[in-house]
Amino acid sequence: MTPERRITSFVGFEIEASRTTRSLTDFLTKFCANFGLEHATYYCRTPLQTNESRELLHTTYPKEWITHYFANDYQFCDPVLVQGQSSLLPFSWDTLDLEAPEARNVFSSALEFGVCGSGLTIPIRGCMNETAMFSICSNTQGEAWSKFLAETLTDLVYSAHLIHYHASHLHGLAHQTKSERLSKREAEVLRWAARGKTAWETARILNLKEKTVSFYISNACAKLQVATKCQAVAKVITEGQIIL
Amino acid sequence: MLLVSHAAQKDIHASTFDQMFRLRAEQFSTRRGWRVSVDAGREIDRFDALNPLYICLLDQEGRLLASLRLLPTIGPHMLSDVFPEVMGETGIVRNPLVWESSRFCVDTNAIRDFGDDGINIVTRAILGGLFATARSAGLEQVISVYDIFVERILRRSGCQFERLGPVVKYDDLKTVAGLFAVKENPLSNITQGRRAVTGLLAA
Repeated sequence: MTPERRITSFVGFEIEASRTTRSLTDFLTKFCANFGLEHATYYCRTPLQTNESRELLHTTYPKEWITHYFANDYQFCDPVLVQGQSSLLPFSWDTLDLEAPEARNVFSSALEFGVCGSGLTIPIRGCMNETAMFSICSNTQGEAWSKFLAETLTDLVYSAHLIHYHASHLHGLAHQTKSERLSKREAEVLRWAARGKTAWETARILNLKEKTVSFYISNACAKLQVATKCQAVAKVITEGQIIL
Repeated sequence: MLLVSHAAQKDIHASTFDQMFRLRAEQFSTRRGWRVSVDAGREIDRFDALNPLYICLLDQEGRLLASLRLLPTIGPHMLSDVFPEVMGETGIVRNPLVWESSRFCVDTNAIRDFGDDGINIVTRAILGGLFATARSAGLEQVISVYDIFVERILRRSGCQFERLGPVVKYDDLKTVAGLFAVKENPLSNITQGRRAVTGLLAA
């Protein structure tokens, strides 16, 4: 029923080990190596509740490119940033509007620094309406790239949110402290999962459809910011949120 | 034709957005008598200020036939902030793979041009756009809150969904919450909707 989520499992496991902001960049390097990607970038502009606006950036791009990027104020005309800030939908970079010369220039300069290939950006809209984004870059092109995206999109979107949650937490940002309690149904399905019941068995016990049970499990994982049902069970029991 | 657009792009699609806010006023306030606030013939609420994504179905002359609005459940949305009771024991959803559809409306005058089956044709087309968009966002499910009249329209169109909580009366209007699977939905493969979406699922 639930498709295999290789990327989510990897992120859920590896990101817990990132205890410093430095190790978050190391995590991205490992992430790329594991999934055959060239680069990965996490960027967040924190909400403007105060006058102070903070930006978070973790990336595997070469230092020379980053320096060149900010020295030339590319952050104001980079079409990826422009679309990523206003969009809710993930977008492949080959769909970007490169009409404006400044926008085209960002991409041609990137090429000179060896940063090229296909790209995907997942915009993240957080619980405080803050915007962040997660981008990946690959040397795969054409059909192979489209196929990779079609197969991994859900996985990547969920992973992007896990990375955002973890990064916000590491940087001590206010918006991550707000966590929603598990609902009655979410706690109930996890209690049965903890006793070893499958989604199908839980559906029989609670007189629900199996896919409704999977929906509750998915929602519980999201609230707990974990990748898998096992991690969710471990976390709720450790935190005392459910009693067996 | 389907238009998938963020609120932030409203200047580019000014005419369509204006038609949408007018249609919402006409359908929700005038026709159905919901207690929504209408200003200068347009219905706009606080969720429209959160840069949601809209899906609009237009005819060849650019006349709006139907529209709806999508909000991520991670942030404020109608089921968390306005109608939590209809979710019953399901509770509030906060999941990046689940978005909420709201403000679904169909122009009941315009659909007459499509014959007796007009309502179903238009509903299927816009829901096809909804599911295509949801797929391009990598979503697993869509949730929504509506009255039982809309529920009947959705059911007749062939869309598959289930109720998540009890029937709750708001202003004497029987209201329910629905869960829509994205990938397995029969309306998910309508080709009309897919071309409009960002190219991720261009195949």
